Amino acid sequence: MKKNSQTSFFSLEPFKTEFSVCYDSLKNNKNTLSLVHKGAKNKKGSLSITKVLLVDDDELNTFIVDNILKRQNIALTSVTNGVKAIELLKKETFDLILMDIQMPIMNGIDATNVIRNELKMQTPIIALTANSLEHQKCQVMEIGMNDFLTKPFKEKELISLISKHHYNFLTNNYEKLISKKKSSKNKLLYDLKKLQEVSNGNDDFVKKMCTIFVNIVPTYLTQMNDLYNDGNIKGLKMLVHKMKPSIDYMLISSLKQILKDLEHINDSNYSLENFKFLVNTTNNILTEVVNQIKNNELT
Amino acid sequence: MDKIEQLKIFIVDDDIFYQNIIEYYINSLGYKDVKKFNDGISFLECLSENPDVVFLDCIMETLTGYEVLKKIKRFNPNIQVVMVSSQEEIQTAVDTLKHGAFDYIEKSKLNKKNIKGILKKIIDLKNHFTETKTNFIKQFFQLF
Repeated sequence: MKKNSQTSFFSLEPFKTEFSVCYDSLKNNKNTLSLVHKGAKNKKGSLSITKVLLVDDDELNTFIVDNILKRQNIALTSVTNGVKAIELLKKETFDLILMDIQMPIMNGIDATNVIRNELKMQTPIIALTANSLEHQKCQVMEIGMNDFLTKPFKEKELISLISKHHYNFLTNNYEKLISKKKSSKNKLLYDLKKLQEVSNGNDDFVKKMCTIFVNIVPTYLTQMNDLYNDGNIKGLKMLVHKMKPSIDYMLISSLKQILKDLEHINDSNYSLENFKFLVNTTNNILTEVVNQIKNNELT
Repeated sequence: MDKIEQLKIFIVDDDIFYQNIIEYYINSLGYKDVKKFNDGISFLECLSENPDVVFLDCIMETLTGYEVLKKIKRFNPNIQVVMVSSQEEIQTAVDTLKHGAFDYIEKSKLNKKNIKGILKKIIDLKNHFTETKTNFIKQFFQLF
């Protein structure tokens, strides 16, 4: 394979074998794909994103994107034009949309206009296009798309863009969620409903569990900060895994997605800065929860 | 009821919060002889107390549940081990059945009914074992 050729990897599951697609053969209008055997590999990714919608009428591109995302454990739904995409988006939500520009019936520009202005959805949209002209880039950004990827693209480029925009989307959502929670003064960040169900009316047990929670959280937070400062992402994920059951029992809904992301994000796709945001948010929410429990349940 | 209360139950989990939830469910079923351990090492130091049942967390920092399970089974195969796992580790928990775990329970699905069912199965097994042993001894002495 040429050194500067653009490649994408995909796997043929039944054979547990990975191949790379040489985009040069596509670029040069050759009719066949160049499949290069790469040997068996196990490259299970773990982006926290789970559902992506691809709007593209090009079957080959759909096949390639599907295979790239499969290995990141991301479920891909694909439709062939903007009208179908809008119909689907009215019924289902997605973490991110990959949108081709030139399509029959309704193109990507018109579809994005509807998604942003009529459906009022803020789901990240990445434009996929064969045209890398600067004015088209400006156009797609102006109508509300979040980024631009020129075909043919490398697997790494696609994953990195998905990761970046999904992260930005989550960050904005978390901030909205936290400010919403903070703005409603009487709103508690936890709920003792689940513990009360377990206790079957035993208030002493609920109080005991609240005390345990209030006592263990500072230890968890100290450990979490230490692990983050040491750059020990594996340890951090393990700690989050350990914290999850107690967070679930205390029904701290604002932390559910954050902890899920912290536990499952792929180290190679997320920088330490991104972890920092998630760690800080966890710290802030849990500190607030502890204060609320102390004031409301243990006085 | 007598037999129920005779069960000696150990809980091994590095999450103190969750440990207490399991203990509460077990206590509320009438089992009072319950001990809790924060890690595999402190539990193994007390293994000679021969518990009847061990609720064992799959993922722990010092020794994993699987490592602890192997040591329990080597020490006394009659100790029944119930693996406790999160949804993500459910396959690990299922795999431990091949290595002698009695059953597994998913953390998010843990409730009084599940624990009651598992403990009942363990009691039935224990009773069956005792009965078989008694019958065998009887038959052995009838030979003479």
